[in-house]
Amino acid sequence: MSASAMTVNKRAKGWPVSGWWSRNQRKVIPYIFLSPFLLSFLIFTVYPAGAAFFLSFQRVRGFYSPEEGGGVVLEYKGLDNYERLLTKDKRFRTAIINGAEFAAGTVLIQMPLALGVALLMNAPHVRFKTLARLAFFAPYITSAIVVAWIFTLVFDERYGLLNAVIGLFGLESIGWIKDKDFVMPALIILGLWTWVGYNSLFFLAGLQNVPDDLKEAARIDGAGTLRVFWHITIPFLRPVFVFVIITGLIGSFSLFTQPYLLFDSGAGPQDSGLFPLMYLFFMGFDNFRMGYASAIGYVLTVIILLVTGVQLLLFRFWKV
Amino acid sequence: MSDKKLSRRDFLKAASTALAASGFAALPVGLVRAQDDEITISLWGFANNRDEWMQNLVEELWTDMHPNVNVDLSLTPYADLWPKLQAAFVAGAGIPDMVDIEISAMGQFVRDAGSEPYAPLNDHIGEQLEDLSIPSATKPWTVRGNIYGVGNEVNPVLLYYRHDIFDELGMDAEAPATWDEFVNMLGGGAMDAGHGLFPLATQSWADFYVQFHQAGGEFFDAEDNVQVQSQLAIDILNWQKAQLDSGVYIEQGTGDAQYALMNEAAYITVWGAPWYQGFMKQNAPDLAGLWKMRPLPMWGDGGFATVPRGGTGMGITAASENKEAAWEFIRVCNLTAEGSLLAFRRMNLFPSYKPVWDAEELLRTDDYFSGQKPGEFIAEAASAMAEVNVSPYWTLFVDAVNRLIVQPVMLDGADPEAAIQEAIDEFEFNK
Repeated sequence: MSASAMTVNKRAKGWPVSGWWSRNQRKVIPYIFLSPFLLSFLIFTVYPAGAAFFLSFQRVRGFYSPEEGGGVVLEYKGLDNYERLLTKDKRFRTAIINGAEFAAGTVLIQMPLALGVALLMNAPHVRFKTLARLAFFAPYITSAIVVAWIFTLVFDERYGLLNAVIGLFGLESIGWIKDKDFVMPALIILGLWTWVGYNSLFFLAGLQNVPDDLKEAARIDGAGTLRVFWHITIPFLRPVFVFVIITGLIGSFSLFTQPYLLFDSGAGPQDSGLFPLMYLFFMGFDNFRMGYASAIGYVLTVIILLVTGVQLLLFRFWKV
Repeated sequence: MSDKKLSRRDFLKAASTALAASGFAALPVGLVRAQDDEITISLWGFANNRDEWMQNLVEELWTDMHPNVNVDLSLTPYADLWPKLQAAFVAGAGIPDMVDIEISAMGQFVRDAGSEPYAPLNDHIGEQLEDLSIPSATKPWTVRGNIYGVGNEVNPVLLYYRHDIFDELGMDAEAPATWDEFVNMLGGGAMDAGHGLFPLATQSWADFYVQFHQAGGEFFDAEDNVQVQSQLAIDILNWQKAQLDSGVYIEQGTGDAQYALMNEAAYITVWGAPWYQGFMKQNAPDLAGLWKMRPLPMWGDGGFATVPRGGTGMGITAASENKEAAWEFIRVCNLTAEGSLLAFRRMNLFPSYKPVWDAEELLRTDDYFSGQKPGEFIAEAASAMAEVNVSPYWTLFVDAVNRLIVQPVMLDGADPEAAIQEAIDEFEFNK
């Protein structure tokens, strides 16, 4: 028996609680350590999620006074909020379509670019790699408020940097955040600037885990650079693709800060910059339809789960 | 240094002792405060200039008048204030005694009768209502006959013009009496010289509403019914779109761009309420002495000389336990000569408290506006100003007007009648 166990047994004889403690402390202590997280998770995640689910079947009609205990006056509406949202609400449809368009931009443009940047940073002949990583990562850690403010200036039709650049090629100025047809390209450009560097770090980590001996063996067998990349590197990056695509999709449907600030607390011309979370916010806080906003939250969750599920299924068919 | 290690038990003992000690230490403070009868009233606001005004007022007037009533002024960014307030109302806790209620943020909390989170001020104001300019001081915060806020500024829209450029072009900006004359007499000359005549907001309701309202239209009637489905609204939209297409009006731009356009004389007239004069001075200081102001042109025979634009009213929350003290603060701010004139000195806002309208300092000259006396223009316009019916559904409808009327019509050339109908349909759907 160890010395510490002997000490515990001595104490147990003198004090019954100590005896219980000594018998159970190994079982109890993990829960004590976990309790701050569990408590905060219950209070700040489980309870609000449950309350929002309850609220999604209600309509908020006003406020009770503090003498009445505070809170909101509710009217039970059954499935009305969900029915309205899924069958009649054009703005919600617009928000989902915008989210899907942005997600497509994320997957089809951002991901290949991020992979390209990672390949460059992984190439043996490229110098100043640390500086390059820092430079590519910097936009991600820059405050979204600052980013939105900078891009308001970049996208300005008359004075913006982007139009100044395209003007050098003799092209006409574009109303990037004024013309509804150019709002999504503008947001995708902003997204590229912000997240390409961030995602490239994941690809870089993946690239550094591709076994060199496997690539060398393939080369000895006569495979060229492209075949090595396609048949060895890319399959090894599968987990990175899964992670980047799924987080990108979730982020696309949850986009809020950048468009909200870029469009001055609005949704851009004719809702061209409206995303589902923004719509939730507008309905819940501008329009005080908290029940409806809760329903939006739950429908959005289901949509994201479905899209993620489909992605995971697709990736199951892609094996190394 | 001692080599004794701190055991877990010692640590717990020390921590609980410290916790208990801090609890006991806090207790007498609360008792002392209660014994002194000292209270603190709180106000949530969003505007720096109003915050500075109230801080000055507390220091210069309030503390001497009411030494036992502290005022806690809290400043929150505009867009964040309303969700924060809503969260407090929903929780029924942490609610301030007073709120600075911006005109557009009035409606959403008072939709359902009987559960409004603000306290009616009618009885408090009483006969002093006659001392106030109703369209600016109380009407925007009046719902179902209850006054929920008092605004301190008279905000009639006036027209500002670059007299240096008009002089150079040999045109008289004071001559046009109507809007048609305004564009016909001045538009061509301005365009020939490379200027737009006027900047139009193509993404928000504001400029459409100013001209629609001035012509006698309204978004809502007194019973909260939408009133925009009218030939007048269609005519105004068509008229504005025609000016935009011809180049007489130019797109206003958003954010800093609109002031960049102002600074480079891309437009040479602009309208705004008196508070806008502050923005002009701040964002175009080099244009000091180059502007003059005049009343708005009219719409032929009908309509109003001007309309109010914007405004913020001070309201008391229904949850406040210090309603009398809160009202006293609002009264000193808005219904006394000292408070009103202090607001004018700090914010250059013309008071809605009429007894001070003949005060000499209100009629001071302003070098930015070429030595004119803004007070004279404001006082004259205020007497002929339209009133606004601020429905509880104002925010909801205005949002639909932005997206479904103004933006499609001005930017894409959509049919105004169809656009109006779509906005009304969506509004009724969301109402």
